[in-house]
Amino acid sequence: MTAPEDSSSRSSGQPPTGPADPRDGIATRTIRVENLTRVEGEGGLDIRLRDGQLDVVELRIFEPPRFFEAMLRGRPLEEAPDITARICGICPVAYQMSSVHAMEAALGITPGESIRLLRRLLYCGEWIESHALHVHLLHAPDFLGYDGSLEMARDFPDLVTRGLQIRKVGNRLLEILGGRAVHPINVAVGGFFQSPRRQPLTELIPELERALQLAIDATRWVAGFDFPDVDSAYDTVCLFHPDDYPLCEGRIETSDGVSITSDDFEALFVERQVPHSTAMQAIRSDTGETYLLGPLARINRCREQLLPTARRLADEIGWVTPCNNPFRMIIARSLEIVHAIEESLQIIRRYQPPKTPRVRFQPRAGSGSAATEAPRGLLYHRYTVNDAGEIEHANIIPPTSQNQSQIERDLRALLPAMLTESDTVVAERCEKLIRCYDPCISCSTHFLKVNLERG
Amino acid sequence: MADSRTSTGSCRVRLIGVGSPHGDDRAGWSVAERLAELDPQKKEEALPMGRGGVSIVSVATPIDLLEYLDGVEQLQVCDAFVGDGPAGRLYRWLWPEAAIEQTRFVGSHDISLAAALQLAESLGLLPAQVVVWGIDVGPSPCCVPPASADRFSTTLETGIRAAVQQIAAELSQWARHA
Repeated sequence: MTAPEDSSSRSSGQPPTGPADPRDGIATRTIRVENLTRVEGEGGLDIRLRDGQLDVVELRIFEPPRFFEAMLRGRPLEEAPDITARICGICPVAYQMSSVHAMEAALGITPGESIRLLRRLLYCGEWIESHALHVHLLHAPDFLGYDGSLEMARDFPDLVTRGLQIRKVGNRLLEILGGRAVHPINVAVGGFFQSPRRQPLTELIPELERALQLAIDATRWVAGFDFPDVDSAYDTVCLFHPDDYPLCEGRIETSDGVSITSDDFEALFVERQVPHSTAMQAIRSDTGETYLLGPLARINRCREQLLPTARRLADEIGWVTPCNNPFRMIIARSLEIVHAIEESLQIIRRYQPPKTPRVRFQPRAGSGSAATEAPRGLLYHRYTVNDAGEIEHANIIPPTSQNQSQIERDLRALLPAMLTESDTVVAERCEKLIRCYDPCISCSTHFLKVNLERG
Repeated sequence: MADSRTSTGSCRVRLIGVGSPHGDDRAGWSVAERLAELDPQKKEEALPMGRGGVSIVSVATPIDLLEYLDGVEQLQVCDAFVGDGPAGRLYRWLWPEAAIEQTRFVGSHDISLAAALQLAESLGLLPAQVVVWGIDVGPSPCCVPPASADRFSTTLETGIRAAVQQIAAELSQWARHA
């Protein structure tokens, strides 16, 4: 199968191309993608060349900011999981997981092993649902020469149906564990409001087993795509734990050897505002460099922590670690679906409902942080609470905010080789690169820092 | 994704509320919830729920509706959209109708309602009759829930009640002629 590099029927905006800047006689060319397609949320891309040289590459994020951190202030700490879950319709569990772990750190409580496993199971449901959608309906069309899943479905209905079938089992897990599948409401600081019953979970085993086979087939399928030959020399960042593939536990590790706890996150990574985005961008404070989060970062660091089926599959398809080709993220994502289904089966087969669904606590003043692995990468939360159990301060840094500047850097690296192409082709290839990241723009715009200057 | 309080089993008519917990985008869910809660003791209100009758679900993104089409003879979808107002104005469209594609349904999540219905049609999943109920939330909807109670504006609330009434009447009429 080939990656269509020159199809000209994409929906990218037709860019205005200017021959010269009358003020200085320097030739300029502007390429604009008005609205990125097949990404979550609203964003665009501006590229400007001056005298043939790349001048500006800006991932424009213009979705309105939503001020969630301000909304949290003064609210009872117990509300953080449900309020922050509303930041994203695609990955609400990730917000719930980071918020409960950060709150529990502030309160000094540690739920037991059974709650830890249930949380992993819930997270697996979200990974399966989110990754399956992206791999099959949003990203695969790029490699098969289609404008989108609709066009692909006309020729390959079975492939699209397979993605939907895999996704469905993830949704079922969310429904059983989350109390309801639509924005789960069963997650609590300290554990769960109710222990999920064993029967609905065990009844899901045959469906999960079928989904596992489908996910294996899908991974072999995407591994056969033609990928552009790209090596981006990423600085990758993800959680690492010696015993488990990263979800909720572990230290934050970088590919150049730095290892920290979440308490040091804001010392190692800094957010900055840029004029063209309503979302903050992030860089390393020690190197000033961008960094990559998400499936590729996780597989590169944690390949040995994949469960056996996923690990053997990585070997079988000839996965080379480390992989620094963003286009191969679709394979990493597919391997993670296999892992998530395999881990779900493992947890369900051993599951016994915990006697007490959550650890009780007394509010106390304190501060706590946590980072967990959302489908798109590391999601950081930090809270300060007072003696009355009210939130005094909240800081939330989603993965797409952190990946933004890395996306711009990738675009800068790839653009020089394609500048002889038409504007439409350049725009279309840039969109394909951006889609590799599965960006969630709605998450990234949850916050805007407002500086008020008084005279 | 199904609301666990409603039946998702075998049915002939499926009513799907599309939405989220975000402000006015909850309108589709609210209609679904209120339809599910209609008092079965009141003859004029009662819907023929369950097997062989009506089933009601809520989904967070339009693509999720593809999970609930097996064996369905008629699909009814209710979703909020950003329009010119006034908030609460109710529209009824029969699929396929150009207005569905041109309407900006609230929420930008991945695949639009029109795209999801087209995809379902491509995969041969769509029943013969598809009705889309659109609730206009006006040009500037409330996207974030208020910190206290999740309430709709008075005009939008009126529209939601009208939607419940009209959809219930249509479903009851269908049941009588089925």
